[in-house]
Amino acid sequence: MWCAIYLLCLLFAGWGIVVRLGWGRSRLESLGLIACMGPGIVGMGLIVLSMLGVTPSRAEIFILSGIIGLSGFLPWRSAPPPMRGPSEDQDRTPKWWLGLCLLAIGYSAYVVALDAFVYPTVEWDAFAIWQLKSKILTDQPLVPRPQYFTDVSRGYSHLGYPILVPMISAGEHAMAGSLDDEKEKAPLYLLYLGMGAVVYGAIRRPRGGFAAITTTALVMAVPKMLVVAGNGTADVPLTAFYACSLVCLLNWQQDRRTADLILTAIFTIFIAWTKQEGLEVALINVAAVFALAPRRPLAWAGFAAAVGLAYLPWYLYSHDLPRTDENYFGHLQISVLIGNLSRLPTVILGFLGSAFDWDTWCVFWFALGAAALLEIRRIREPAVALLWILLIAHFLAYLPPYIVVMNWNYRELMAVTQDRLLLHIAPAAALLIGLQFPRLKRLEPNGGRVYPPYAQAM
Amino acid sequence: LVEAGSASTFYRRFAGWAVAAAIAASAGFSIAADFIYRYRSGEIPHAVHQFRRLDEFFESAAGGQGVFLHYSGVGEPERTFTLVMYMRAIYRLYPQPVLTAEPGVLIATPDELLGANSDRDGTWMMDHGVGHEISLEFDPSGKLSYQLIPAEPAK
Repeated sequence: MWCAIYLLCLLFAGWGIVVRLGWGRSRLESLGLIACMGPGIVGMGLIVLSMLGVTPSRAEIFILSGIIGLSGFLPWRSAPPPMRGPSEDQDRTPKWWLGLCLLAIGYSAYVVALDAFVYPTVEWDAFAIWQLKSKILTDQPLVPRPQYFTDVSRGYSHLGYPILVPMISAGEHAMAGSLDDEKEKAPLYLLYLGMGAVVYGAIRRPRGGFAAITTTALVMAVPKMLVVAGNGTADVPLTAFYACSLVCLLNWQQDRRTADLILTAIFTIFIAWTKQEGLEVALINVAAVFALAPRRPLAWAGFAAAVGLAYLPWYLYSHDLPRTDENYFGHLQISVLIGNLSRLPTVILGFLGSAFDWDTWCVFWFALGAAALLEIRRIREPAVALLWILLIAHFLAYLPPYIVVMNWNYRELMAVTQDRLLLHIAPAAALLIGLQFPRLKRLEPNGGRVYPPYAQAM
Repeated sequence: LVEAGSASTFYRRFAGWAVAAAIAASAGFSIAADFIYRYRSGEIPHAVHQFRRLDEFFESAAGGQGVFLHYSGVGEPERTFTLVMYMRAIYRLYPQPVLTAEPGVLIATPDELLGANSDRDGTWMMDHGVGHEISLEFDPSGKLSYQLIPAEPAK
């Protein structure tokens, strides 16, 4: 019961933020943003309290989620975005196709729920790194610093990894009143569902329901997602926060509503606090905002400052912790990069081999290639162009660690990490598949027409 | 809005159907493979069962006082497993102490763990606040046996 109450608290807190900043898009897109915002904002709130010396408890969670949620009732809200997208009459997805896609989504949601709610945490990284930290954060505040963070005999648990996901799970332990090895992963389930809803909403608006439901089924049922989403690691939370940040960034690119930029900044902050790789993704988002509005210094400088200031406490807290894992940033020097440049072809081929591994991704990355080739002229659309640039930048940002890595055989490192890194990039790929979905005249009674304003670029 | 011409309409319709069929096949394959993995292969229930047994074993062995893990006879195939057991014990028994070497020794890899792991006497365990040693021995075939040794002062 306490698990259900905790999830409701997270959703209420997420509603409080999204109703002020992101309301007025489609219902599913708003629901997706709520499901991803709630865990992130409550987790960040618990981190702030922990840095003030307070461990998570039921009372704190009620007060925190209550204050954030009730703020949604205040009269001030951002101006709603312009209504656009196909009407129900224009956009009829064939029922048999809808049924097939819902079947795939339903099965995926069911098996991920099994992992998240019923089974104990059995994935190696999940219990050794993320959920061990969640138990420590339940038991001890961040200040004074627990002995764990300097205990190198726990070195495998990567002492300096960011703590948003552990803190979200710590909230579940606190609500349950005991350390709960089964439901500690439950709040992360919201992020999986939220990611699917956000992808659907973001594609349906410009491209219609057929492309949206098909792409959502594809991304939610991809084998790698089914295995990882409910296992208690931080990969799918990073993927979900990234999906939300991309959708809000696209909305800002389109409408230039400050509220969308604020939402992008919030999700970018979550990304930086979720995994070390998140810092690279956050920097790419900052660069994207700058590239989209170089003559609006208030926008890009404010965005960069917000993300930087929000990450600063963790940098100050963690920069002197023992580095028991590979220190990629420390080795990121031009001389090392040039010295090991011969690894580059192997690394790129490794990524391609991983992406086109049928057992892990089925046709996911093939579909991206096919959609891109068949609808190549859509590259002129601003949203598609931006997504391609972000996808490539994100991919390039993941190459240097393999080139500078010292204490691992880089081929071994590739084997155990590349498919997870591809998972982080998957939201950009899914949005691209949806936005470049080929027209299916017979399936789509509206002729698969493009709706404004994406059509303006054509 | 741009409408495609008749030749490209046929091409696009064919291509669109091909992409849709491929995606449907992909989702179907993915679900079928996952279904087999979960319900027919028995791998997930087996893993869950094994971890539940391991957790119960650690809890009963520790008796609320923490454990010291000592490994012997570890061959190449078992090296990673030693680190898995150590981290599982730390996770499951938290906040009880779990040791496998002198406190303060870096343990992030199986090599570091096995390099620092040696047998300790009861006095050492009592001094370090652990109630029992779990002595884990692998025979040459990789089969694991264990012995539970309470921390008692050396006579």
